[in-house]
Amino acid sequence: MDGRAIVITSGKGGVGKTTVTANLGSVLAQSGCKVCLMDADIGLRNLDVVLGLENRIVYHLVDVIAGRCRLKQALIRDKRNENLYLLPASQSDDKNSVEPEQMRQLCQDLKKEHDYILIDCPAGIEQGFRNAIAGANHAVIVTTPEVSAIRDADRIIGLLHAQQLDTQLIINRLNPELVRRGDMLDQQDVIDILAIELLGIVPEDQGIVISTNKGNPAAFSEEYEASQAFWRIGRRIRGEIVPIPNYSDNGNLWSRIGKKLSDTFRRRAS
Amino acid sequence: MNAFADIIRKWFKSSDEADSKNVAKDRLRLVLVHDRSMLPPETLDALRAELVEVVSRYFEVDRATLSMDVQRTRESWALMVNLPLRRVRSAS
Repeated sequence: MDGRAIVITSGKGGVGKTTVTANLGSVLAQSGCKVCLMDADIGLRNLDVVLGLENRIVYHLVDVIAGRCRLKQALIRDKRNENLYLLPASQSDDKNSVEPEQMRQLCQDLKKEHDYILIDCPAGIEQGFRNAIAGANHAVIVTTPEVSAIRDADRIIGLLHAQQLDTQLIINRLNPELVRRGDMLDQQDVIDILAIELLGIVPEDQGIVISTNKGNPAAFSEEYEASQAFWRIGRRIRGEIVPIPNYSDNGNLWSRIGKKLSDTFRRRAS
Repeated sequence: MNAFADIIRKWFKSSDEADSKNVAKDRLRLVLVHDRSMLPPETLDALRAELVEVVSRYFEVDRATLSMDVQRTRESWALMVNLPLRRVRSAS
């Protein structure tokens, strides 16, 4: 097998990298692909709790790299879908205990056994970031439609291009209501600013909070709007062409009439 | 009903009260012009050496006289190079 390693990164913390990693892993596994989720946030592991696998960790990534166990022993197989595996991070070591070259080798080994390796990158641009991108073929940048997250995403995109990695963007936690009101940047604004290909948009959804509380990624159940967004993104990663919904579209007649009137009114007032 | 409320709100918004997303977009554009123009000193040194090398193929220059600067304004950035020439290098 010759799998593909995709690093999920952002620069800024708290924009939803880990949630995106867990949910994309879930949809790709449910589509029949063999997937390994790698938590590269050494010292601050989180992917295990988001997946609800925190009680099953025996060995971790640093154990594998230090030769304290075999790779297979550290991989945790998900009981909800047996195509899905987690390679947890260590909670006790620090980011300097791993070298980029070792991560490259680890990704090579994982690619022999899996279709996709999704690497959950730590926030920041230091050693942890350099390790996480070392073995990746492709990078997915996660941002929210906020100035701080977009600014950091721009910095990360620059660093990834310097490494000649292809990049695509996921806009996470877009609030369609705020976008319609003109109080949140929409997808076109974000793309104009960052000049990068859009992989998908995940609307803000309380279901993400609920499913994370339970340790059961939203994409394992169909009831949430966000999980449908993750399904679309999963299909795009697998090469299908799936349209991206336009959340800034004022589709209905009333809002279009209203917009027209308010524009006219504003022009007159100025 | 929500959409209708939005419209009413928009309707009564005064013209100088811009949508906050446009404020965000403008601020981001300016801050990114600055962020993207940050160059590590090694890059500037390498650029300086290569510039002198290229120009020296055509002109005789004194490399000590080269001055080079990246100038930033609020909305743009430019590379300003000043390199006095001595004479045209004769074709050999």
